[in-house]
Amino acid sequence: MKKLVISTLFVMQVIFVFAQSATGITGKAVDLKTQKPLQNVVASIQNTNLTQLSDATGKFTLVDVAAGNQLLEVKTQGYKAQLLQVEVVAGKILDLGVVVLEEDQTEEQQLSLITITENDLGDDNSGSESTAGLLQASRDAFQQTAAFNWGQARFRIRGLDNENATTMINGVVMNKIYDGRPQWSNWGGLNDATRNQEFTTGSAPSDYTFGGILGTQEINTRASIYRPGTRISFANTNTNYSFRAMATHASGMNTNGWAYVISAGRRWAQEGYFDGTDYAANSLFASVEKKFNEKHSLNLTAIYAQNSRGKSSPNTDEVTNIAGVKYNSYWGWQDGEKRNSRDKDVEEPIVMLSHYWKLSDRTNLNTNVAFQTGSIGNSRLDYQGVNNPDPTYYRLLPSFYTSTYSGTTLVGNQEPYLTQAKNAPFLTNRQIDWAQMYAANASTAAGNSAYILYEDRTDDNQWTANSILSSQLADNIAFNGGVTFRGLRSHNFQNLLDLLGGKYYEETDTFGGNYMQTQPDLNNLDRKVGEGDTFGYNYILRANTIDAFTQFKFTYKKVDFYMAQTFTRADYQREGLYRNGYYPTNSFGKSQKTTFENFGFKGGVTYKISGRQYLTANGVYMTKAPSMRNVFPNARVSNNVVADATNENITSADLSYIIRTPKLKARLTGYFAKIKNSTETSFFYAEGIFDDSESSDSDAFVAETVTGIDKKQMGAELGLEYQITSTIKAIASAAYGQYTYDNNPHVRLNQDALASATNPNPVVDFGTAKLKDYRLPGTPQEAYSFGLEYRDPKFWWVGANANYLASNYMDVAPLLRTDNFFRNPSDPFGLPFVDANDARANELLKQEKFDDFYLVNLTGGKSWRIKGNTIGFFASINNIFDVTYKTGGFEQARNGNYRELSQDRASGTPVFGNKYFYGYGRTYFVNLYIQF
Amino acid sequence: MKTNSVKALFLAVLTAGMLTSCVGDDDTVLPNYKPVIFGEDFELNAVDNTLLALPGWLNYNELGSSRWTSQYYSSNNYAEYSSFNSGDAVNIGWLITPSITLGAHPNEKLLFQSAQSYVTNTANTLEVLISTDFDGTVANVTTAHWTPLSANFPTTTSTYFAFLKSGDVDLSSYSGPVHIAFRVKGSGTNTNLDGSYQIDNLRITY
Repeated sequence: MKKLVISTLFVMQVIFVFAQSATGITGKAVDLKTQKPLQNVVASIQNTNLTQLSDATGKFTLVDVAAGNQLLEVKTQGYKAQLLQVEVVAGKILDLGVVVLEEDQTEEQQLSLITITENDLGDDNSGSESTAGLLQASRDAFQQTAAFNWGQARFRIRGLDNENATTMINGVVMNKIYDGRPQWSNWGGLNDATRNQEFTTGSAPSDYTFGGILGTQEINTRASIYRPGTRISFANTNTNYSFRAMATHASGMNTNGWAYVISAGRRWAQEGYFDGTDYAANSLFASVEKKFNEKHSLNLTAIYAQNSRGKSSPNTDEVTNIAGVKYNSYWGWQDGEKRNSRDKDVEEPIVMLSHYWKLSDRTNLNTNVAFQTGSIGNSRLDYQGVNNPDPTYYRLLPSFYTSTYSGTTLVGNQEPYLTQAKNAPFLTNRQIDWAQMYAANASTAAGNSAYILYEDRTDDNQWTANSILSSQLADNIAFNGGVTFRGLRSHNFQNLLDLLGGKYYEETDTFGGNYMQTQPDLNNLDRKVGEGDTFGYNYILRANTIDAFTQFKFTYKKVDFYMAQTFTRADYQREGLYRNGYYPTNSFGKSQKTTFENFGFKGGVTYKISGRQYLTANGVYMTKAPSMRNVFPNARVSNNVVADATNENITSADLSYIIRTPKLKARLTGYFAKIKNSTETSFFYAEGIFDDSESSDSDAFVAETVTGIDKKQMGAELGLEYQITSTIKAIASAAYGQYTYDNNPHVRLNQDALASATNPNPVVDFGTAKLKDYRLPGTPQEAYSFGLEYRDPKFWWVGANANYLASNYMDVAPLLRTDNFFRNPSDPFGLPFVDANDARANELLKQEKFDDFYLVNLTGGKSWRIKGNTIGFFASINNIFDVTYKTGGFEQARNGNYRELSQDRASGTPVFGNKYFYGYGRTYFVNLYIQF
Repeated sequence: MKTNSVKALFLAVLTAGMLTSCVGDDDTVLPNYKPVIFGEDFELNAVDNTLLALPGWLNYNELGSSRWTSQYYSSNNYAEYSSFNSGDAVNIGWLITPSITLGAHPNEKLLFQSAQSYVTNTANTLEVLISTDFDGTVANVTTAHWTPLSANFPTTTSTYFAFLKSGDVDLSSYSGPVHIAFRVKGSGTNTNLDGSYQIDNLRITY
């Protein structure tokens, strides 16, 4: 019996049964392993509107099929699609007999992918984002390669940040209003429960939203669409966590119209791949649906995902050379345990009520109300009047001595500096010294803490309501439309976590130049704060957004096309709960409301060259409101709004050639995207930018705003899949892109020290930064992959692929590219440095290009069918040759000018060298699962 | 075939588009700045209270033993000439720049800072001079033609050690190689003439 099944693995049994009159195709879809019929399998004739779902017995019948050679696609969620070539004869129904569908192993792969994406996504460091998380559900060969093989190297499709993609759960947008990016941890560890996904690429149309220019991801949690059954899995890996356990049960719809899905997951690690990165995450999921009648169903989804993990530090080459690639400066020993000072805690449960209304056979209305509440906390050490506890603080490093200059003469290469460098504290004390901090706190005269651990907290409450209508207006015209309202109240504050043995902490800003400036809240002077108290800054951000879209899709024999339009309106407002001493007049109470109104239009055409070849073109023009974080550049202390906060202009176009035959599937795409007039704000600690006096050793917290940034992304993608034999498949992918700054944007710095009642917005204008033609950071701009996959009929498979990644660039500091770079702050005539020359300046400002590298990955799996249950495992080894590579990095803007930078570099041991993020070395992932 | 021509066209458009707007790694430009034609801030290798010995410069005592020295005060190195306690009846000290080529830009000008300490008599002078025929040798200092340039100098009432800006000293009428000289006249025996002069931050710009 089994052998018979195996023989039908990639070919279907075709039995010709002649029926009367009608022209068409019929067949029965079954699961390869269980031989059970599959319901709701989609059977469609390529390049037509002909689509049918299989019934409870797995049977489907397509009628009115044009006679001749046709391509039939049979697919369903979780299974590999079958593309079959059939010869349809007029007046006859072609019976395909049994069409066997094999479970898609990439689903197992998706489960390992999550370990890469969750780690750094949504962190405040933009140097390490990847769009891989978006792509896991994609079936496209290129996108799968991008996710599974290039994701670990932080590859971004088309060089675009994930704020350009719309991530939705049941049509409810999950991108945060604050920064436009989804918070993946909100549903992390629930892979089985979030498996039902629909994905669109670029600006191609989605049924749920207008979307961005990177694509859309829609996670559907409607209980009745889950395949009934139970699945339990256990995984072991050495990436950001060590173990993962998950269990999911889906009931299927019972006769009373009830269906439910429950899922739970736990992931943990004492220490992840990088030193001192602990991990603990628990996730719960429930979805219940009640079908009242053929027209109405209600579904309630609840997601609770809690995630706490220790972060790892970006390091300079000096630190990496001393302490290694896995070195992390954020942790230290405490009572025999590694304690990380920079934890990220996310806990933002979601509840969503969805109403599905089948208005007619051709029209559906889906309405959702969602509420999300919870908090995100990023912890950090603070200190007053004592030494910086960071073990990599620049004064503790050997380079601090070896880069010493006397005037313009390097003396660091002489004694006594060489001996001092050999005795640099970092060489012996590489980690945070918790014991020393406790001791310091215990020895203060008043018993107050000199060191504390606090967190930057964001407590959000967000309501979302939306309605999405989809209607088949005519046989060849489909309509989608939707309206979404979102209301956000985001409370941001500093929360004191641990006094580290002290009795209280003095809430004063030690950088303040006068008494007023030392007070974070003039309404509560000289406060003493304890654990759990709010201090430092405290404000609320409110946002209301409305967006609406309509979309028409037309399908004809030779041509398909669509057009869509959108309107969005967003208003943002800050309300200060503290009256900050720097900004007494404009920090307390409500700011002005800033409102942004935007439009977007897009359209596209698919020209069907033949049943197997297509040309597709998409184009979009849209404007977009700046994200909230970019509107209030100094939100912690003032109500000030960015001077020229204006909408972004986004233009994008792509053109693809697609070929799909039973053996060869390939897509070649050329694309072009331009994002104009965007704003970026960043916060960093800086020295010597405003004030050149060497004696000032104070790190000043600086808010930098860069406005009017134009970015250009263009390139080509190729994805190719070729079935060499029925068991061996070759996959080749290539991405060649060029992502650059396309103009010279405007740089401003907020200098709190200049703030006063008469100067409530102390912005220092640095003019334009010469960023044009610098490369955009954060992703390899070139990537190539070749892989082979062997699938044995006995339910096991192996795959290997080799990847080459190139052209990844440093995140350049805009401030260093302003005219300020050459201005000699101590020149009495305001002239540039006398030794400044083009050759040296070009050397100093040249963008660092990271080394190209190879990654070789292996994957494999096997499953068994035992007494009606499936047991299987999936295993992968990534970066098998343990290649060390940089995934990103940034310039420290601390050396603000030509002379400082030139001297620091010329010393050979820069103190403020570039900081880098590294990718994982060799890692493995093993997942065992059982399904019943 | 029709299909092939469509494909070819598509690829051609794509390739053309890529090639016409490619960016090289060296296509970036520097921030704006006007490089100085000549500049000296007396900081390089400066050691307090030693004879000034800058490469290419001439530190010449025409009369008396005093020569220009490097001095450090208030985080700043500068050049100083003092007759005080020299024991010479007359001190004349020259500090002459290396050869500087002028005329490449319109409106070239000289800028510098000068200060005095204990200068009480107008006969105790600091001058700035220019020569187009000086050959750079010690023997030629007094035989070359030197033209005084007019600039703001400290007076006998100026605060000691407070650097004053020279104002724009017009050099637009010069082109080709020139030398600029600072000359101090004083006395080590006449206490009315034993003050000191300091100069710093010499710039030629446009």
